[in-house]
Amino acid sequence: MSPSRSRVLTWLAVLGAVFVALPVAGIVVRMPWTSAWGSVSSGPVRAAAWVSVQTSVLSAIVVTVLGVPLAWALSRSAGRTATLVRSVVITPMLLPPVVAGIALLTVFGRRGIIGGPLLEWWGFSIPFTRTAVVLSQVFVSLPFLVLAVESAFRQLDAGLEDAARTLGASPLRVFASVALPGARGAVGAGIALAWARSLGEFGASITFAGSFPGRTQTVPMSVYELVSTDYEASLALSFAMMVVAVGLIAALRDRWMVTS
Amino acid sequence: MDGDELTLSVHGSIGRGSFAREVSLDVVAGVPVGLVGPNGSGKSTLLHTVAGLERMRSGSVVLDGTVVDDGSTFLEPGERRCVVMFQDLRLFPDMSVERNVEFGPRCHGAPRAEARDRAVAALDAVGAAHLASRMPGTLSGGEKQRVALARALVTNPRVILLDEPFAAVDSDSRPALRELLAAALSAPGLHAVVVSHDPEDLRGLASVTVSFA
Amino acid sequence: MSTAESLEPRHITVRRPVVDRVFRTVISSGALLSLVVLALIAGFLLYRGLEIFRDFGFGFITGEKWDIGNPEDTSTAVLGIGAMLVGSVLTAFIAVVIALPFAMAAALFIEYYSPRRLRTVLTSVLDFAAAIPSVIYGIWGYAVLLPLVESWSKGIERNLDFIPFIDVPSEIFGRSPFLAGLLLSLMILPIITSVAREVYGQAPRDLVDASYALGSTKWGAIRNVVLPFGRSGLVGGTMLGLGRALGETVAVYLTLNLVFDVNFRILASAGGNVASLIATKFGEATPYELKGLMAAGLVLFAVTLAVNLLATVVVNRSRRVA
Repeated sequence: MSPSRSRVLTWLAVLGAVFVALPVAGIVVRMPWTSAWGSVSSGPVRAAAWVSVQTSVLSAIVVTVLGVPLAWALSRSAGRTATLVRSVVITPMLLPPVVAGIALLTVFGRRGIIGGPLLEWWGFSIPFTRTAVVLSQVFVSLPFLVLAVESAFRQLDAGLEDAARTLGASPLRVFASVALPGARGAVGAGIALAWARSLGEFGASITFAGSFPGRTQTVPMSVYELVSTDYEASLALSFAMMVVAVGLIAALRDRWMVTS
Repeated sequence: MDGDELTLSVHGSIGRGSFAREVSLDVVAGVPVGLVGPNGSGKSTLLHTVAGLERMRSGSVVLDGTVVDDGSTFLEPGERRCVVMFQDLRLFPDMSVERNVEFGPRCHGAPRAEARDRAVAALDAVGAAHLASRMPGTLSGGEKQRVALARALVTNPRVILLDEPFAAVDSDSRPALRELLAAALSAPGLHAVVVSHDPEDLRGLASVTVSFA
Repeated sequence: MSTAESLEPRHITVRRPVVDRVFRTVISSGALLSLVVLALIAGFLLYRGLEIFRDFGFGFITGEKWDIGNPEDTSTAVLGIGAMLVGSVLTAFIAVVIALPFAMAAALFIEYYSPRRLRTVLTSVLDFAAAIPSVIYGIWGYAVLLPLVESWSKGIERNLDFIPFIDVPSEIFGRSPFLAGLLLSLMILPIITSVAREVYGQAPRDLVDASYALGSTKWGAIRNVVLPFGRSGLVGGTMLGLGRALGETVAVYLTLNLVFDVNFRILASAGGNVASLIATKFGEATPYELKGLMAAGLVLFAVTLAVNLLATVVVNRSRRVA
């Protein structure tokens, strides 16, 4: 390759990376720094932040508990069933989030196949509650965790797990004592990614949970509504959310990557 | 009948694809069997099948009169009391030597204190008590081999399978290790299979040698 | 043990501890649950939207107007997603056209040219970008990109207004399909790049080296070996990006003026996409309109699924070849 062509490619690639990082820089430049704190600490915004924190932490926990063992099981099984399960698990990733939200609503709604009996027998209704926010977030972010963590488990030495099994380890013990410690870096990164996804989730929650301030309105929904009413506040809030999301990824990733 | 009772027998077809083959093997307790064959002859497949890491394609594995694998019955590896000393040893890299050896007893439900006592005793028996707090990554080949042996024996196995036990050991450490292994394999009631590509390795370890080609 | 029955090997039954059984159940039922949920999605969307399809027929897909009329009288409603569908496809198409060259360059650079340090930085940037919430892209598009694109658009239109889809008679620029498409291109760049990296990285190194050894330049080796090898994988990755762009909600809502007219003029401030239509109307929809939105969801679901299935098939084929 001639030096000039290599340079073109280099610049294109660097430009691409800069391009991607632009939102961060752009928002910093446009931030109304002086009035930002006032906007972010106003009552409705604080309420949205609290809803976001609660729901995203809860969904990160649910996703971890369900997703990590599932990812491990998938990584250690072959054949048609595993392929089928894998393709089903990643399907939410391929669904447009609003469609995912509608789908959840039709399943868990008052007349849905699960929501109907739930309401009738226990008087329990999920849509437009904080539970619905969590469900939307879990639905949307689970595939990201499963994919990231499965490939990490796949790269682990399955021989160690075989050795553990011959020594009498149950599947649970193989998972907890051998597989998990081997993949803790990737598991940490996967959790961080899923958490960030949950924090930024919008489409599925707005259709399934609605945007009720103080109840189901999360930070992204609050930003979406503030754009037309209080533009500066929406900018400040976006900035805060971005710092948290990127910070989360950076912190969890680096800490666990280094020790593993 | 007592002879049959204390026999490990594998009859039928094992392996998949290019590793598929027929085997017929009987191992009497207290009489270690050596298997010699070139690489790729299916020795590892056989060990995996006996240990329960792979299923028989047809036929059965019977241990001391109990079916452990015959197509309908299949005992999980941990339920067979059959341990393997793998060629690459497979010590758990995140656990100390003592934790590695404790692992088996813990799996079988021993309380922590008992597991630790047994681990210490097992390490002592192979002359590796001083390594207890080390991490596997810091050990030499011969030391790792001793730890792996301790980890296998501490579970009081009915079957022990050794895959190329001298592969990672330098020639100076071999005589001591051979002595240790010979003593371990002659334990009463224990079925032992030693696999190697080199018949010389089996000298003094195996009472019967089978060619596996 | 001297009885005849000991000739027959014993069979024993195994009781596994409760924790183990629970663990197994968790693993298997998690999968089963997703399967059930997914099958229900298509079925329910169809069931709920059926009335709309019966009332409007194909006109639901092609119609431009979305008007519930008199909320008390469903027969006055006119529901069509034609304009939104055109907007979805147009913005997604623009996004892919812009993102693809950058993604290819970034992937080739990272795999074959980048110094190790820079590679770590670049891949981290791409990973971070994948984790940035859409609403942030949306706000950025609205706050930063909009004024820029508005001024570019004026210049482009003044000089190139003889091209039909660039001409804007109304002279109203701003929240146009071009802006939304440009923004979407940023959002799909990471996914296309990571798929491209994966397929380019799988290109047979020995062939690359051989091509090198035969006196070919590095670029020659890439052009003759890597690019043909990765072509179908790249197509698959692009389709995944296309799927994401088609389904994007909040970023498009913030950067595209919701107007119920089919608009092919990419610089004009008019458009919309199906996903943002659903998100905007869902909260205050009448029961009948809600059915319309479910039907719209089904159409979006079908389009995205088709694109994604195609992508999966193409990517899998490229893997098999590899």
